[in-house]
Amino acid sequence: MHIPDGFINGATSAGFAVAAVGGVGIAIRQAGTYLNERQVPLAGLVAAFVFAAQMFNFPVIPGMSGHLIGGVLTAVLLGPWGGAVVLSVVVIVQGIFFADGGLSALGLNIMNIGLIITLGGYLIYLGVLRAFPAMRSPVARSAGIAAFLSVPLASMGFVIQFIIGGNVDIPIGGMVAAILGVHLLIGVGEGVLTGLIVGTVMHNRPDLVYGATRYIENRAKKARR
Amino acid sequence: MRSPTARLVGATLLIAGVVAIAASRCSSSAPDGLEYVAEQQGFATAADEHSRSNVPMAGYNTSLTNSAVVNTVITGVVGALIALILGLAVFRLTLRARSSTTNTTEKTQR
Repeated sequence: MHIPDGFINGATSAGFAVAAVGGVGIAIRQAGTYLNERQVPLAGLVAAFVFAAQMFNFPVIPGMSGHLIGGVLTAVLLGPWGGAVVLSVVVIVQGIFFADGGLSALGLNIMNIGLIITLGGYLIYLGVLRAFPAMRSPVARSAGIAAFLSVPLASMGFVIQFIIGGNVDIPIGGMVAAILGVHLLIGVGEGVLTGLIVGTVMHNRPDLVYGATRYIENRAKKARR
Repeated sequence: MRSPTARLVGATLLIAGVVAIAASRCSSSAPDGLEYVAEQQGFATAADEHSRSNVPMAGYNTSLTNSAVVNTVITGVVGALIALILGLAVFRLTLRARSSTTNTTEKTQR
């Protein structure tokens, strides 16, 4: 479930909608600076895959499930801006055609699982890659670790939105702890799946992995120095 | 299945079909993270009914056939195709945004 209508008040939702439109606009422009025509079919296919994968809920603890979001997965494959565009497209399709995620909450959802998770997750990916350069299969493992952390990161987006404009008066402390706790657990699934998928693509077609080409180029540059 | 478009649609159908079959057979129906916390913390009732809850595929379900498995596979495949088409359209837009930016830069350089 994405954020439904009614959780966050209208003014806050509208503010985040404006921010989301701006953010997606920037993402579209930025993705165009490094993607080329041959990557467009891959981007479309990744969008289709992420949509389907988000339908699959894996059990996390008794009474609670989670599903892959694919923020770091798409960011590592298509670059952070390409990933942001893919996830935003998926969230829009889910809200309009599948009544998943309120339409007034579209900006809130795009902010958290379109922009924060991909851009923030990619920064974490780069950080892990730099911190542990000697790790085996560094791209897949860094992607997995970043994906694990990206889920609680995105859930903090919801916490901020709730603090600004939550429609329900409940103690914030307990809510924050609960949101963070469950999303850390869900993040484990996200990390494992992302690591496995990125590892598979790295094994077969490393040329398709944006996050790897940059990494290999940088290493080559360093080696030359 | 020789043209690139046919291959792309074929790959989408294959991937979405496999994932949707898996989802329909062994996906957990338990609430996800946000829903679970909303119920625990007592703000689940604040959710309004979705303004499009009567669309044909609302909640990833459809009443097209009597089989829940087939219905989930249909919504999964149709949704994946919509995501593919919209994704392709938006990424074409990103390339156009690039070419218009390059044109402007070229003009300024002159």
